[in-house]
Amino acid sequence: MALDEIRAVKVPGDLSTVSASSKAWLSARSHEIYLYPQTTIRLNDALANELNANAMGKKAKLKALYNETHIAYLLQWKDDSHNIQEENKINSFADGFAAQMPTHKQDVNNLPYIGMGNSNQEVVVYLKKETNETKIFQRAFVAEGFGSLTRINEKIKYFMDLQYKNGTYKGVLVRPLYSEYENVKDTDIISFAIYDGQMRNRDGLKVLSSWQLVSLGQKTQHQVTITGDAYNGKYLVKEHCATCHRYADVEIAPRFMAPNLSNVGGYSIDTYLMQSLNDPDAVVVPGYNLNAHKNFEWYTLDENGKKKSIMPSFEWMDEKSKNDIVAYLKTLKSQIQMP
Amino acid sequence: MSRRQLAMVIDLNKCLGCQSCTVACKTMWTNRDGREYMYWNNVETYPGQGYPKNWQKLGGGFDQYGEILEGVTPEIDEDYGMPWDFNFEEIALAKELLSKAKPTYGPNWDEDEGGGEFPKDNYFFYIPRMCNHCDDPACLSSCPRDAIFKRDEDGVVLVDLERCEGHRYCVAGCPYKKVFFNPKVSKSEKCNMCFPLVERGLPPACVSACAGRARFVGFLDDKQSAVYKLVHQFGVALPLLPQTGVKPNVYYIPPFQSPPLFDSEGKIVEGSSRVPQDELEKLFGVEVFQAVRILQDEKKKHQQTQQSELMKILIATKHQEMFRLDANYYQLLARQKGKNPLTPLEKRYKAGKFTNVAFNDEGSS
Repeated sequence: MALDEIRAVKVPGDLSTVSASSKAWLSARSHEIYLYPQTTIRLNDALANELNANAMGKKAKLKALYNETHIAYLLQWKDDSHNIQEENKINSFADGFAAQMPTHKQDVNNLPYIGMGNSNQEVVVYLKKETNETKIFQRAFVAEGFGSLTRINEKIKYFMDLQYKNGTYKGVLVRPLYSEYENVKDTDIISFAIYDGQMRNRDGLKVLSSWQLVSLGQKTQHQVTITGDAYNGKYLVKEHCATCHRYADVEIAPRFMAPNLSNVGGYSIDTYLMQSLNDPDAVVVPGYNLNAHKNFEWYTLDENGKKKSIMPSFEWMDEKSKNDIVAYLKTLKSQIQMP
Repeated sequence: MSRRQLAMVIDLNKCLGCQSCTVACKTMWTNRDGREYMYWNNVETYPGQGYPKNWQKLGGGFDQYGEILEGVTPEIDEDYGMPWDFNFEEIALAKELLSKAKPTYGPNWDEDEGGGEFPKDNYFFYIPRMCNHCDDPACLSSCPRDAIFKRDEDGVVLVDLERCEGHRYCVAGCPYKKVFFNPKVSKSEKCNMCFPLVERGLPPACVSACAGRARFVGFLDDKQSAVYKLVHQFGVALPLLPQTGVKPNVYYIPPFQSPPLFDSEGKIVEGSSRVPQDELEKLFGVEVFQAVRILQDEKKKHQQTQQSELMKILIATKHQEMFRLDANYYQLLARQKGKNPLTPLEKRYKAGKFTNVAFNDEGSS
């Protein structure tokens, strides 16, 4: 997906605890980003699946500021309902937001899997949930894929803020440019997720954005964009992919045979889609629970314990056809919810 | 599946619904810190709505192909029932004793109501229910955090509270609804088979508290254990709802005798039984017919000859013969791991399959 360039604005003064209502944000440019429902892996909460059956994408506004030591983001989105996790309820879920970024990664065309990284491509995840005034829910993790999150709250210094007013959330994340996990130079790479408690969102159930490139100063890195004939790609995908993958209204494949592609165009970068065609072993979608779905192994383990995808490689296919497939996959995403 | 499996057998013919097990478990584990509404062990009346309300209809488990099924997470007030307080402080002022909150459901909401029509064909029996420490736990399979694990040494299924982030998929996934969400700490919690007791040679709290001597505990691979004999040798102990696909390890001796029905004139229908066989089939599958037949035959044999080994086990005169916990095995494991083994608190249940210690008769139960 060709991304709009997001520019962080350099500001003087301390950013380390800049709040969502700070005037500092007035000097930042506002960018629009889109977040799509995570539909790759389906979980087993019947009520949530019913609520999210036709979940739509979300539009959010993003601002970025930086100085010599910190980078700060302000994410702003609409939410009609204000939800916190109530103390004496089980079916009560909080609104919130999260951000992830690759650790020490600067190659914008070979980024970790969007579902919180993959083996050997680690991400740092920051999460903040809405709470009442007496509680704070704010966590930092490292992850190598959905399900592998490990808390690192005490190892990293960061600041988060979340404010709800007039149907709009404003979330702030401030992190140091250099830490044990990160080293941001000219470009920051970040992806956001939003949780809607009303929709029983938590964990993998959320809307998330593709990787966003944020330039600090001059833009020096470019993301490869793949173009092709999506119309032709549609037929190729039906021919080559639909027996295993479900997507949009194409539901020929059994439910858990392979990752669902319904929103793959919303949260994947072009090079990832091409890589998955050429070398399915490069990224095996993490978090798939073999215990839960015994009939379809998404992967096997080789003698070194490395995951081998059961998807065959499409390296043999001509470039044009592959470009067409990627072009079509990029169109697979939910509609964006209009306020 | 684990290397060894600790299992329990509960004789429904002996369960008198006294709730001693429920109370033992409650006071041991769930009377505080956000667990007030939880009953890791409960005894419910069958037929009835059970605890949580209509749990059998809330999904979970696996389909016939081993695919995880969606489930519903029950709510505290409506489906489990929150304990309530009374206005004790106002009684001195000659006020009426009232509950402070209006209860709408609880763990024994329909106790002893049962089914059928009095006096013709009414009936009920009790089912104590707890975590089944399944061979293939659906809670474990549902967890996107890999926070639930099954211990290899004894098959006990536990929640790793460090990893649990309180997403509640396990609650939806368990077909018995025996994983509970603690809203105070936002984590899932469940029966742990009282492993700190078991490792020190004591039976779980629910087992030792059982006034009806209805509960047996031991390892399923230990051919001298009562659980092995009841489950594998005699085939009379059956898992609850085997169609859930989780392969549970709490087994039940089905009710095999009940009073006869009355006809419309109030006369006994000879040879009839109040507990409908199809209800037993719903709970335990078709195997229940064979199990009931064996139990009836063995009972007859015992009445005539006093020679039925099965009936002797079920009559259960000695705790040593009901529980075989293999405390020595846990000591051995601890030594292998370079840890200091805990001293058993109870010597009667030290012996087990791997420990080469003669089963002796010291002390009586």
